[in-house]
Amino acid sequence: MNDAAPPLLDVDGLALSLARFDGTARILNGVDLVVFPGERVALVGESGCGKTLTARMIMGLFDERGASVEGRIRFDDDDLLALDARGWDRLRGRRLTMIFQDPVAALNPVFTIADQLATVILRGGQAHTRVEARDLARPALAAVAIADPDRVLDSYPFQLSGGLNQRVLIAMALVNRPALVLADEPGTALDVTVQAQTLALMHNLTDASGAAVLLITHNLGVVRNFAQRVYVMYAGSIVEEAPVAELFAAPRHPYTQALFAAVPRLTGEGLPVGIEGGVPDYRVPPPGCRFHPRCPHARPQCHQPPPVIEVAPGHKVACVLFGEKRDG
Amino acid sequence: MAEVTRIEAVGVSKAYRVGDRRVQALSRVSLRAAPAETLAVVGESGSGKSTLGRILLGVERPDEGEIRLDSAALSLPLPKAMRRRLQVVQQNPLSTLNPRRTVGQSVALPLRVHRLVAPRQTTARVRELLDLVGLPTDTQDRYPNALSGGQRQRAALARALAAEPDLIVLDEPTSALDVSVQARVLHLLIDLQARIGLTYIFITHDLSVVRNIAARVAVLYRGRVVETGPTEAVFRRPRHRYTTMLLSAIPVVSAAEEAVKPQWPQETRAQTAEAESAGCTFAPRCPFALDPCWRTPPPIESADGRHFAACYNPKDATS
Repeated sequence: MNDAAPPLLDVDGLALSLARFDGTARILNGVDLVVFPGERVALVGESGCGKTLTARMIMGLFDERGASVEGRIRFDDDDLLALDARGWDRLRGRRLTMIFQDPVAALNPVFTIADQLATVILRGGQAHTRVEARDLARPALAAVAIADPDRVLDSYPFQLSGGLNQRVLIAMALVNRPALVLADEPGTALDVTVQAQTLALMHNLTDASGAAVLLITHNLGVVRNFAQRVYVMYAGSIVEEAPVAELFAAPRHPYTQALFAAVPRLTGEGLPVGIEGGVPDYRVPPPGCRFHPRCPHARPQCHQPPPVIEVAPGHKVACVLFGEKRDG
Repeated sequence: MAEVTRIEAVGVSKAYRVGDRRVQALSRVSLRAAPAETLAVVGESGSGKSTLGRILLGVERPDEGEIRLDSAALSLPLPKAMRRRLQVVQQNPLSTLNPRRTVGQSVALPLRVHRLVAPRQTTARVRELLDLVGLPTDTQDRYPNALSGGQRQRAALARALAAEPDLIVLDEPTSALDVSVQARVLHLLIDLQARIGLTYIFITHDLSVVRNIAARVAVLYRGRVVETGPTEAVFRRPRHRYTTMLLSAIPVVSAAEEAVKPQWPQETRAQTAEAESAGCTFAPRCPFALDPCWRTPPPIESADGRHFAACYNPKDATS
């Protein structure tokens, strides 16, 4: 990436604790993440690791009583954690958009696609009337490889296939030419062939428009196909970040390595190996590195917060193993 | 074939009425699985794979054709003794385990219904079964909502095993699980199969899992078996174009896997409402479709008696 340009999105030490009746759960435990303009970045992790929550915090969609937030989220020149309603109005749906996992749940069942897409277009200020908006909606749908935009525009979501609805969502997310699109498991609810097409479309369209993408996923294969850089998240922390080719060639964090070992391979070398144990209880998380109770390399130092070590250019690992190597 | 067959579907068809439309969920599906074998049934949503699962279990009656267990045709409704032999584990154990029953109560139920152990021995047998699926003994007193996804799936498996079945239909058993948990559940399934000699019908859309767990695979597209054969052969030399497309779309994590994936022309055509084909159901999506593909359903054929495909223009004919 172009290191000279400042990042478009800069998440710095983001932590989130929720007070529950049975204790305080520190769900995000210091997330550091940047996205540069035009870059495709993936945030990968298993369920409950906090990846979707991170996305919702970035979008300003997380608002729960009893939450205590630390850290900073900067987007362009805005401090998102301090943004008021007017500020969000300026960004959300315009410079900053989101594609949700389940297209059927994300679209309103009682309005036609034309209504919903026009609302988005009017909000972006590219059109001033619904008629003008429809004229812009047609090419927006054509861009996501929808052959008969008018039929789709006059349909309700339930009249369209999952794949078509997903394309409509992509069109909605891109029509106002955002600087950053957050995509939370797009296409996961769809068949593999449709999922592959969805990702290819997003790849081509964001390339053409120069939009950056932060892709939230649990699927390492999807990361490899789509992203340029990747963050691996475990139990509320980023444990490793690297350029995609680098991570897939040489994953370094014990959790990342275990995650790769758990993926069944198409080459058929037999069943993969799972990870013993489970995700920690966030109310009483293990001290230091949260992975250490499941880690084959755990040692006493793991009870301290792990150092973040740059093992190769742009490849950082939050693990004490690499600190030792550098010292010795 | 001389091989022993545990379960067999012979020419099974099933249609449903949806509003005023008739949806043909299955069309003349035939397949079989040997004792202690895993047969994977793969296909995308709407391919009819779950309908097939229900028919194999004898909970749904086919319009045509029949299911044979150890060569004897199932007669519906199934007598209790037959129901015991056919069990199921579904995708979401939270919806299949009774939330008001402890795991121990759920696992004990088949023991009582089928009178498999003396009442005094029920508790001991429940513990044995929980141990078999790798759950700690205290799980018997817990409710499903207090368990993790992987633990719930183990509990659902323990309940299925309690009936001492010959066959388990596994309907997307690990799709809701994280890969790190999925791997452990798959190991457990294989381990149990080796110890007890279970036959599995493994219904899934996850081809990477199929590659590593099933001896044979049947590919379903819109209610028809389009290709079936030994897993290795189907993955290495897919014949039907739909199988080829499916394999080419799998996201993989290494260059070695990328190398074994077949190539598929990237779909550049815009999506339209799909044309109907009187012949091969895949013809509207197939860039290799020939005239006959649109007219007559292709017969399912094999050169070696093991690997079958229903395609007029199979992959190795042109590329």
